Amino acid sequence: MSGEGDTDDDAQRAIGEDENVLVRIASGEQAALARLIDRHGHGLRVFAARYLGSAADAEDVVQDVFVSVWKHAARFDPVKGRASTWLYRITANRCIDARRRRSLRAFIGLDDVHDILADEDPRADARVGARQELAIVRDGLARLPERQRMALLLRAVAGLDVPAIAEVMGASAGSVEQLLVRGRRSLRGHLTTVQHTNEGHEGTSR
Amino acid sequence: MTGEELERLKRRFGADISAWPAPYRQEAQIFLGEPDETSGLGEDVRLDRLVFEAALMETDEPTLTRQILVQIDRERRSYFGFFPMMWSLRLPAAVASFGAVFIAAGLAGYFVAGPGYGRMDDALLAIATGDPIASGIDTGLPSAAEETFLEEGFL
Repeated sequence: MSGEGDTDDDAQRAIGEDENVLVRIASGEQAALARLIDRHGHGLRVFAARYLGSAADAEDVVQDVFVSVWKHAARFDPVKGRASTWLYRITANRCIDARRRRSLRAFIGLDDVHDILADEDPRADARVGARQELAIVRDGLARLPERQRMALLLRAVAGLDVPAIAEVMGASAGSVEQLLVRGRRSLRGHLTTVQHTNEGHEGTSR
Repeated sequence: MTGEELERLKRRFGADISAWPAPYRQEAQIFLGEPDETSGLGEDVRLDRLVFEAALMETDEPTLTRQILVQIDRERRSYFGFFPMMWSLRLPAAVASFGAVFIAAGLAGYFVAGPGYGRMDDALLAIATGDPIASGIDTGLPSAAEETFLEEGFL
């Protein structure tokens, strides 16, 4: 029981730190912004990169998010939700905008459609490639419908629970659960199919 | 994650892992073999962890921070940065400018095409009544005056 209480206290402390940092940012303290980037920059960037399928686009989006937070930190209302949920909501909206812009550019022929992390750090590719299962999950993730992918990434990368994901995506908890169920089912299906195919190839090559 | 990285993160975010921001928290929990208390049990947790591990990539927070601070500094030095009030007036100013352009275009159109209204009205009326002389359009049919002369036997 006391352990649970401690966990709750710890979680409250973490939430409190983010809120405190946002108050300091609203008063114009750049060190507080640096602290917020230190705490959430990595998570937001991973989320954006996997959602957009481009590390370069994700970098632009995350920069834009933190500049926006710097300008509008005073708008954060702790009564409405956690600071991390607010940050992921801004990022999700910016990602949707970026994706629309990219689709438009591709439509009018200004941009080639390349939905892969081509400009990603190759070391990361090599690291992930070392574990075939993770590579298949990444491939499956990239093939998911956008909202399913977003819900799964918010759950897995941002560690948000269903109500928080619903808040980020502007959807009901029920529809988020549906998105998660469908996304996981599709990913499992993709994993099974690719693994069976690979086993088949290995069998024939022998 | 390695033990060394875990120690570095402890110095960065404190000893209490549950208070760390995502995704460092999940990474440390996976490294330490701790269960994720916020999620359910079983296959979904396993798949979520696979998604998490598959999503991980190298990021450089100090560089990101530097880039953001440079961008903020650049924006502060921009025109609107010197006049904070102007920032809030941007939308009304844009609406007023658009309205002014719209009115100017209307007035210009009136002054350019206005003097020709009488002639245009006559031409439209002539077309409507089928008068080729007034309209200037030769339909190949006799005019009303010619029809009168024909009927009275002058032509």
